[in-house]
Amino acid sequence: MVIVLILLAPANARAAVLYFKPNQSSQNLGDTFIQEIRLNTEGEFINTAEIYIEYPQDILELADFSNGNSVLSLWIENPEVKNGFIHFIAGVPAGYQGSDGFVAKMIFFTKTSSIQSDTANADALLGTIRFSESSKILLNDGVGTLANVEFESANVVIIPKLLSKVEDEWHDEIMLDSTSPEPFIVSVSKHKDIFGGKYFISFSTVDKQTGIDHYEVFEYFDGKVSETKNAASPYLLDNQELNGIIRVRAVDKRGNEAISEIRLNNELESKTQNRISKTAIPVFIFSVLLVCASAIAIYAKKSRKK
Amino acid sequence: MCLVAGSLFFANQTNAEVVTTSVTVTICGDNAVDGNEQCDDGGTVSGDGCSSSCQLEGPICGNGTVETGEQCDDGNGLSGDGCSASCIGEGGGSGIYIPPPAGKTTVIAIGKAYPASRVTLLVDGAHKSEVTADSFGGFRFELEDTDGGTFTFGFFALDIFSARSLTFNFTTSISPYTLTTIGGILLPPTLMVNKGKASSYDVVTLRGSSAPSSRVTIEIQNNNKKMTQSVRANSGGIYEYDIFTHLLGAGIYQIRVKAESEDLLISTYSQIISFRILTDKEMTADKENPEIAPEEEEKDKDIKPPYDFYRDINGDSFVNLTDLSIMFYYWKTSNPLTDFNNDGITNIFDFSILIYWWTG
Repeated sequence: MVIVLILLAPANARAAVLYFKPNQSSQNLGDTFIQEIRLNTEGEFINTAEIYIEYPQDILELADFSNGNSVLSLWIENPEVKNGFIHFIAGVPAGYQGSDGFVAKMIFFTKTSSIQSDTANADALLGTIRFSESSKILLNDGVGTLANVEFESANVVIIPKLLSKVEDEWHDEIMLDSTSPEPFIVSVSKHKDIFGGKYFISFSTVDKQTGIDHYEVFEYFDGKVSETKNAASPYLLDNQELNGIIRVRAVDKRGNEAISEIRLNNELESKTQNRISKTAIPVFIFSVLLVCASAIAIYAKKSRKK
Repeated sequence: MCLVAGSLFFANQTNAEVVTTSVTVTICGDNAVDGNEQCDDGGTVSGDGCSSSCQLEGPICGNGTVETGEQCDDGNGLSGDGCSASCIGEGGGSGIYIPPPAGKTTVIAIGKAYPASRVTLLVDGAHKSEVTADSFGGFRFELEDTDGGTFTFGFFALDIFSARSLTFNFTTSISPYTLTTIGGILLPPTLMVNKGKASSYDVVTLRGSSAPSSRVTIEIQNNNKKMTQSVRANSGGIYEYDIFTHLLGAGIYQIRVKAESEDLLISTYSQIISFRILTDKEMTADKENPEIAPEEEEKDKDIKPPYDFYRDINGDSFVNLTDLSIMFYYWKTSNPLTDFNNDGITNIFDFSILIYWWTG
């Protein structure tokens, strides 16, 4: 297939559009569903997004948030949830232009407590998820110009019926993730104006499936290990002697990991490795067996026909 | 030399110009034959009749190698010896055809920069690879064994003057087990000026690199007027243009350029750089206030890349995670090191400026 993509700088400055996908959905009580955040740049190159989203916390609970496969690759403020608002800041070096850019997934749980227990004849509940007007998109123009932005909200209808089996599309998606985060490099630096001139490390990576869950940093020196769960970049090193091993582990929502390691013996030697989660391996083997079994069945069927 | 970083001027004037850049994406492995493909069997494995680059291939019966589509190959082209002349097994028996592995995911990017320039490939903002462009400015990257998903590929070049182009970014979805070729990339020209300030009867020289023999369009603009000129880069990709300041009048001007190659590819715009033409009154104040004095006539060799634009906080010639780390350290505080727009706080506007200059 040949696709010719026309990158068009607009003749007139149009507004970028932040929207949700789907923009209308119907959920049963107790279901867990995915609401995507998407972006149409209307021909502009943009590089930074600060997003505020308001959701009806009386009927919905944010169960998870995923930036896997996002067009924004640098997440400088991870999603923070407060009083029914979600806030995050992310960017893409050198800009993004596109009409249907995937930004992130919000995973909502429909609260069973939102409906009275005696609900045989209860009305369906309607909730609206909307972008706050404080949300900002900045152009990739070297001066941080604010783009004009239009916001489109999404409506969710909650059917007041508690089914015996609830849907959880996010769980299904996580179970299919057998791919590690992208390989990455950890850099050791120091600068006179930060951390009192001490050594720190910088790191960042992305995950193309369920998204990065967290980072862990391990420092091996003097026969001991210093370990930090939920580490963030920049990370001030415990060991300022640069004579041990630094290992950074990026873990996705499924538990698949990518590891970047630096050996500090006067010379920097770094390597990266990826691993899929232990629980993902049986799923992968099962998938391979399923494909083989299907192939055998098809072949046998064809043989019988002959 | 003092140059002012690009201002809001062009950014607020997006109605001034339309730029259409086309990038071609060819996918081998999607079951559709087009472009230069001879075949497309939905995979990227060679040896099955359609090569990993979607070109027709064997199998060749009689070469002694059992290839996909052959049950046997004894190399003699004769029947009656257990393997027929058409490489079908003789004497009964059965087998199970196990499909070959689906192959690998490969991305090839082909484009044009400037002769002998050093071209860098960024993937999702991370420095991935570097190549030297050929004498026609052509470059080619090949990435193997990538994952499927949405990727942003960024390209920038360092020319023979050590001037850096703006990064050309392209986001696309890569399907697993396909060969995706991204073509038609033309990097924006580099841009340098020999002075940041000039008198009203002076000459300001622009210079930079572009694709060989490409047409370089130069836009010079202030709040009141806009001038557009075209020059042709030479066969070595160098272009030059003299601005006669008396044709413009006093004021602060922004310049940006774009290119159209001989094969009609069109680039995005370069970064914006500025220069100032002084009024006669300001000229008179020269001696009293050297801050605004026009600079001494600079020779050609003094045309330098505007390094002070690059927002390289730690001065290591890269704008990358280390610089971002320093910015994080001062996030939501006031520090002149990271408060690029001088609004008293390090925030998303400064972040946006930093990643505009990103090198990975």
